[in-house]
Amino acid sequence: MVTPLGITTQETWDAMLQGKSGVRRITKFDPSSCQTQFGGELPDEFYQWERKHLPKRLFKQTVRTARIMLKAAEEAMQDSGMVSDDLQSDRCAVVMGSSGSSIRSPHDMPEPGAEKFKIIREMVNAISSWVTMKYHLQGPSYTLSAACASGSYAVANGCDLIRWGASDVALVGGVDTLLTENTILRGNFLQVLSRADHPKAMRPFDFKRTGFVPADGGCCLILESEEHVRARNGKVYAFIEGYGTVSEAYNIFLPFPHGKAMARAMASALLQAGIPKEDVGLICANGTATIINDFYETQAIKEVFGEHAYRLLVPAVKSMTGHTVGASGAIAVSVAAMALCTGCVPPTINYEHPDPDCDLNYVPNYMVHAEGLHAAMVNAFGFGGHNCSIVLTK
Amino acid sequence: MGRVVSKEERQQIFEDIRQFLADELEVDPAEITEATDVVNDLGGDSVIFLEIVEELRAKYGIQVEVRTIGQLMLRKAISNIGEAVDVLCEVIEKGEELVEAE
Repeated sequence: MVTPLGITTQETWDAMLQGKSGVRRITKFDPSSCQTQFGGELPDEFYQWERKHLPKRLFKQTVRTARIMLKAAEEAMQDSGMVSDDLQSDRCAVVMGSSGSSIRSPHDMPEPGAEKFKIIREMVNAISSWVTMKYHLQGPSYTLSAACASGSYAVANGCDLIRWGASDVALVGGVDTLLTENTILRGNFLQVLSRADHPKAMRPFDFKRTGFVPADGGCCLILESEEHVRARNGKVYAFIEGYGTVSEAYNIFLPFPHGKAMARAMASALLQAGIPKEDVGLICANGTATIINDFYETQAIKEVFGEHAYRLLVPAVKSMTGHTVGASGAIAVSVAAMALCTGCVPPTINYEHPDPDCDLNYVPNYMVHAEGLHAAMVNAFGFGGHNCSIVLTK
Repeated sequence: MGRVVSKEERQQIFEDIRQFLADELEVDPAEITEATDVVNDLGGDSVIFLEIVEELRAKYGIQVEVRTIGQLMLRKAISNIGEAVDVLCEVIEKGEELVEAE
């Protein structure tokens, strides 16, 4: 994971468990023309890392999304312990998600001579392509786009490639860079960004929530067939049991009223996973801190889980990272896997004013230990009506 | 119409290309010979030759448009640096006529 909280999964995870915020006043450009001036910037360590470890020519030929993904993929590969002997390269897929911020990064000051590479710099499939080249992975590879659900859709699709027998291993994830003046100005027009000028600007499920804080981030996970990971005696964080992907077919911007389509995605994921809803103890919420979205997500959880909804832990980690859009679904899947693995559940921070319409346990402000956590769900719902829920088990 | 490239000038073109590639791809110039494959040995790409032309344009008085060189490259695959030097010499010698001359 590469997030405003840290440039590794462990750094991000530790910061989440401490309830730290990665949101600060934007420094990478002068945000004074924007109504939203706080964001989730990547730590300076990321920029030091990319200058130290990536070839000079890559800076001409990439925008930051590809470089963030290379960092995330490097960590995932190292953590997996996979070596080339473990890999049959044509059986390894790469599926990444992004909302398309690669072509909205004018602040990403290109190297001299980079302009002539504009096409390959900005093509969204480059995010996957550079990963295939670095690790010589020759199975299917592409980048898909489903707005805020892009990362989750990539996980779901990678899962399918393994289930269908097309691949043994899939590198999946998502990445986006939201912190550009253009993106923020347009986000302000859509009324989805918080305009609060303090680090607590993003407060999912809180009564005084005003929208999300844009952020940069990326995440890469490695999916493997059980047979493959057992054969190489690899580390397993969690099992993906199923997912639900539905289209709202309603409005390019607004979610379907009362979370009816969000509920369809969650119910569909439970059905595919084949587990009773009472087994689920954790939902990593979409939790974008917009007034309608958080209300509808709460309604949808109650519709699907009934009385069990009140026993669920429903944290929104975007409260700490800001909204990384195409990365956020993949980050949430990582968080769910880490929670299942460790029994620790990170909080929703900045939660200070309970909303009677949002009355679930959002794990306010402090992490909790969840003994016996067996199954988790991850929600991601995007502009354009792309909904994805994923079920994982320990 | 261009001009004749001398043996010494050809050697200088090779040295210039070697230095450009060493800087751009962060490799030791000593590792680069005329037999070096830009893509497979140095991790470069096919566009780098056009960048070399741009880099050396003023020094060698190259007036040929990039489009013309691109057309030439479609007909003559360049893999190693010796071939790149030969093509650049041809560009200097034939100018805009080099595609028509094919």
